[in-house]
Amino acid sequence: MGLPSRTERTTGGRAVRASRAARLETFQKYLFVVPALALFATFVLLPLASALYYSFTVWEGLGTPAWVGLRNYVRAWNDSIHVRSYLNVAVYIAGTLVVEVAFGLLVAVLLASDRRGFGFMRGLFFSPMVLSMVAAGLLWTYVYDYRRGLLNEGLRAAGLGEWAHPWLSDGGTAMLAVIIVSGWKYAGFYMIIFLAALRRIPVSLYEAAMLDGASPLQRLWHVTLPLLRETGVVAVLLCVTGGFAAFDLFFTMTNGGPFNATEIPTTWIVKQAFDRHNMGYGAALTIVMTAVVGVVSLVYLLATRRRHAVEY
Amino acid sequence: MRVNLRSPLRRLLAVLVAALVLGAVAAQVEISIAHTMTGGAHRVTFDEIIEAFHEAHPNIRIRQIPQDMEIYQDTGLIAMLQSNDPPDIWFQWGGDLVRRDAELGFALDLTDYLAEDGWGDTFLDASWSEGTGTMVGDRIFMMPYAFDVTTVLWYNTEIFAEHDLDEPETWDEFLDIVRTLRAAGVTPIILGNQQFWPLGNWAGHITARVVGMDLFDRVLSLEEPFSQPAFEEAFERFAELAEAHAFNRDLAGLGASESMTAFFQGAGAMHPIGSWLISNALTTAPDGFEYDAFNTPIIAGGAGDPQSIIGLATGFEVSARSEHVDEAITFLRYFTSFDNQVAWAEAGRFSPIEGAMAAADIDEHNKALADLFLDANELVPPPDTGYPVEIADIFYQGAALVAGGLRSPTEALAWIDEQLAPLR
Repeated sequence: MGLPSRTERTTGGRAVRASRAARLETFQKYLFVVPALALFATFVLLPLASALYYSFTVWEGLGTPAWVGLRNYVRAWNDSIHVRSYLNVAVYIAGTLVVEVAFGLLVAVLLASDRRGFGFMRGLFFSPMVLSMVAAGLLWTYVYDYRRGLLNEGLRAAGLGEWAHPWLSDGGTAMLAVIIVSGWKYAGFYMIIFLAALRRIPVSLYEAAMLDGASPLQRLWHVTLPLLRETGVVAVLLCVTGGFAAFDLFFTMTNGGPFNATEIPTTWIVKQAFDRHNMGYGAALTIVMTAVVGVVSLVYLLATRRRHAVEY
Repeated sequence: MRVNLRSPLRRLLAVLVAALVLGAVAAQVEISIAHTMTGGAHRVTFDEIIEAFHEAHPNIRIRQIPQDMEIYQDTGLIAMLQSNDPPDIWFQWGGDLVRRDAELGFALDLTDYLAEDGWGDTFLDASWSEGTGTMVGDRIFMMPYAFDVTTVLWYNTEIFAEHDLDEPETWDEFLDIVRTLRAAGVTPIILGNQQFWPLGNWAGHITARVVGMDLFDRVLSLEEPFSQPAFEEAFERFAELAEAHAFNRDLAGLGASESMTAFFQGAGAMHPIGSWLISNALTTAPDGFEYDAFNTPIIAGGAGDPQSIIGLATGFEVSARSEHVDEAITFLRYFTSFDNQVAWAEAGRFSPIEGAMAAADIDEHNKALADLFLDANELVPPPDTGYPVEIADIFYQGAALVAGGLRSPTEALAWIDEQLAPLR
């Protein structure tokens, strides 16, 4: 076998240089990603892996965890309060879809005008958003208080003292009471999201609809709502995932009570992990919840993917 | 006056003074104490004792780490104990938590320290038993600083007088009082049971009275099921309370401290809670509020001691990892000295030091509770400190379901067994 010719050497050299440059470029790309990956691994993957490990153990937060395999997951499956907490959160999410998203949409449509005073009203609707959830929860706990609460005192003052009720102490009314506060807090947030989307709809579409003789209701149904579909998908996703992550409002207002009537997965996890010092079981419940939220989000996104998105 | 530091002699002097000050600061040992005293008369006294200790021992500084009780119990103490710098001394409830701290090697064995110079002999005999929760086996792991009766029935004397009622001796007399008050439109018992332990503690006492301490201990230790006739008999007492509409309508959703405030405001005639009501009454009750207490009435046919009380010792543990054990012990000895304990008793706590309660100028209620504690033949441990908290929590919730009229005794006991099945 003879030596390569000059041409071959030159071509080979170029190929080697090109290959090196490509490798360097690839390396540089990864180098830029490393900090983000390191942060993600440290603050997301590592805790998740750690929770996964503890979910297979019995551990009270002190001492050495004892490996118990799938026992915590079997327990979670058979835990009637845990199962009930998912039904409760489903009710809560259904309620918040109405009082947050639907009501937010309604308010956005009604207040999407530059007429005098409408900006102030939008500000009023949005203002509860600036409060922390804990502050809102405490505030409303006083409103619902059986003895001195604003609601019952109002009823008594109006001569309807018989209607005064321990709203947060009765399993029949506690969840509704929490849902109302959630709506009060977040309807303004969804209103702003929908308002932003409404402002992007060209006026010409409404003018064309009017020329075609469409009534205000028909314009809403055939122009506004279809063009808000994508925003609605995002709003519902936010509401559903936010519903699963709800904790502080329940913690401050009912702490899952009375008798688990407002127990949701997060309050049950906290009770197991911190009140009862069942860190292992609490970790297993966390993994279950992560999986449930992941699956629900995925199914929802697949079901609502942009097949017929309207371009405008 | 301006100090002239230009003179070499004065400069030398200044350097020497600075070195001395720095040296003194460096030689000072800091002791950290984690506890739950966030307010009240006893916190004021504790601060004063520490202040006096600083003067008496200038080489030791005490750093307090106060935390809200529930945060401390749920996560606060565990986080501190697991840290690289655990507190040298921490507050603990006697019983299962002392056992845990001892078994995991967090708490120092105090037996030999208490044996020195007769320090341990200055405490009441009741201090050193597994019943009060200070010991594990024959070793002492917690130095008690107070005894607490965790449930007696406090009552508003004005309401009782208004309805011509006397303290009941028996359970039947107690139910009569409940019915009389309810018929008169008064809430007989006001309680905030959002977190289950306020009613649960009382339920533990009633149950121990009915089933007897041995069976109570075996069942709470999960050696036997809850669903058995003796426990049904005990839970029937809660059903009787539910039938008599004994409790406030917002029982299930009201917080413990809110219900105490409501009791002070006259929202109910009776309030079953522990001895800490006294120090709260000093700061929260309106002027002229008159109250008294009686122990859980005698339950006819009960297998337990009819005069038993429910309570425990609370106190301080010393870290087995502390680098300043001697200084920590010095502080604890100072804190439990007779004079300081007299002041401690006057602040509303039941001092475990022999003679301190008698010497103190204390509230009549405190004295009555101290007598109740010392005269009792049997001490029932509160389930949430005497047993693993998960078992207690489920037991409490079962009792609350009956007292709330939501389940029958049989159903509630079956529910408890179902919830506890994974722990057996």
